[in-house]
Amino acid sequence: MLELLPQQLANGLALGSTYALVAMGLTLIFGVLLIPNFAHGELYMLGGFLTYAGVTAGLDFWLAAVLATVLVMGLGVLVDRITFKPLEQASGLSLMISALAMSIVLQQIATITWGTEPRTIPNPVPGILRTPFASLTYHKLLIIAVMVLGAVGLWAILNRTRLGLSIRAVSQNRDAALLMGIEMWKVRAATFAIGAAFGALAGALLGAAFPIYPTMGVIPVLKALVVLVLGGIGSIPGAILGGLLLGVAEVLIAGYISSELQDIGAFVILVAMLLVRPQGLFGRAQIER
Amino acid sequence: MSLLSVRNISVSFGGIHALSDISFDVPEGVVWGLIGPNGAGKTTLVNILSGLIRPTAGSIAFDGHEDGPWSMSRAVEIGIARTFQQTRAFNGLTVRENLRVAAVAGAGHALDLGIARRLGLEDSLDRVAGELPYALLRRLGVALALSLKPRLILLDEPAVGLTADEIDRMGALIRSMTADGVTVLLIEHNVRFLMSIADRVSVLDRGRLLFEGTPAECQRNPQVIDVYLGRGGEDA
Repeated sequence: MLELLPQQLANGLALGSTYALVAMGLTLIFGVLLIPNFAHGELYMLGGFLTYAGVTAGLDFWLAAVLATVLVMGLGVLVDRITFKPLEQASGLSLMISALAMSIVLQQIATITWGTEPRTIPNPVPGILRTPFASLTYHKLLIIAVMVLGAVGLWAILNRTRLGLSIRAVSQNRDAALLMGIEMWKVRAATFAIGAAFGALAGALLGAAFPIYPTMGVIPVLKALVVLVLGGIGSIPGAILGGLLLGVAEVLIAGYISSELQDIGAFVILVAMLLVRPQGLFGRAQIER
Repeated sequence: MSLLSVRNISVSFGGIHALSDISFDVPEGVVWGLIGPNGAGKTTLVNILSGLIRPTAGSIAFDGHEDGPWSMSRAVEIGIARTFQQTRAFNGLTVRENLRVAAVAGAGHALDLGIARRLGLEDSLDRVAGELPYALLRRLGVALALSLKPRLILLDEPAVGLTADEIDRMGALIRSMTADGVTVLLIEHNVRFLMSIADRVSVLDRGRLLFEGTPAECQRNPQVIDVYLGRGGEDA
């Protein structure tokens, strides 16, 4: 059994990278704007569907994925305008309900447009990389690579640009940021666009190996919530490490205990984490605003 | 010509008149003091000038911009910055990052560490703002406002809670601001401190402008003495 461990870890890191990709977008929006964007899973789904639409229309996979991501970024800004901006003064509960409503609306739009029949995209990177310790499909390597590049890109935006400085300032103290002349609508739009891009990228990449259907975003967003609790809500490093940990844990549970327990394992981890360290690995303990 | 021109500003909260028909003109390069008992409307007036709240009526002109009252981002854009009684800083960021937010993200120019030196923050640049002692946090508030490169700075009780030495230092700093071409509107409860550095003084009482003149005239004015200075001569 133990000789399979390197392979299990490699599979776990690949699965964890998809969790991390989805979770980074979710945690960015929550960390900066305190908005629980449950419609994030539908942005992920639309990333998959729009890539599928592009490929079906004859576009190259990569071009289709980039176009889908750009479209979903715009859609993310629109989702904020429709779903959250009118509720600026409302409680967190209202924001959650509004987010769930938007999830359903987007699922229905996808159902009307593409139907409930699962669709598939041909894998743009077929083949397997074999090493003495483990073998990984190029597709899984691609997901890991995109997650790492995405994380580096996000770090660069947040720490090396004027916009990123504004985003960090708002996440620290919205009132003080406004006093410094920072324009909130720009920060909101940018945060939603960047967050949506992570969801869309994950959807486009996963759609190249797994079926695409209107409710495909539900489970990833639940898993991303587990990741956020693991890593600390609002923490980008927490989303990455939490995603990788969850992926590895799920693969190990499936491999060494029972594959039927894989999803249960994730939520057992969630409950255990909430009991032991509710602020997460990277989170700061805080009282609800 | 005046830098700031406030015309007939009124504001009411739920039927209570916080400010009634306030008008005054602040020329460029002065320290303009604003005093009055608690609840007189001093902070409300500063909140309006900095875009935090909207007045019910009235207009403001500043430095050729006739479109006031304005939003917070517009206020910063045209050159109005402010401080608070409780410094509003980015507690999780270092002092240097705080100043970068103001200069780079807010005002859109390069970070000027000369401001940190002027406020004695040069040794604290890498400290996290949330862990600064009180006096340094107060100075950070002023440094943040100055980092916006304002033409008018609104200081809301900069001396409160400071020791005598720190108050002297703050006074010298405020005078040096006018030397750099920054006009100062100063709310202060410490009357002795305010009178020592202000060029002109407005007295607010229950939302109305009661008096305007030099500090010397202010201290002799019977009405001002009656509602404000005369109450046992306390600094409150």
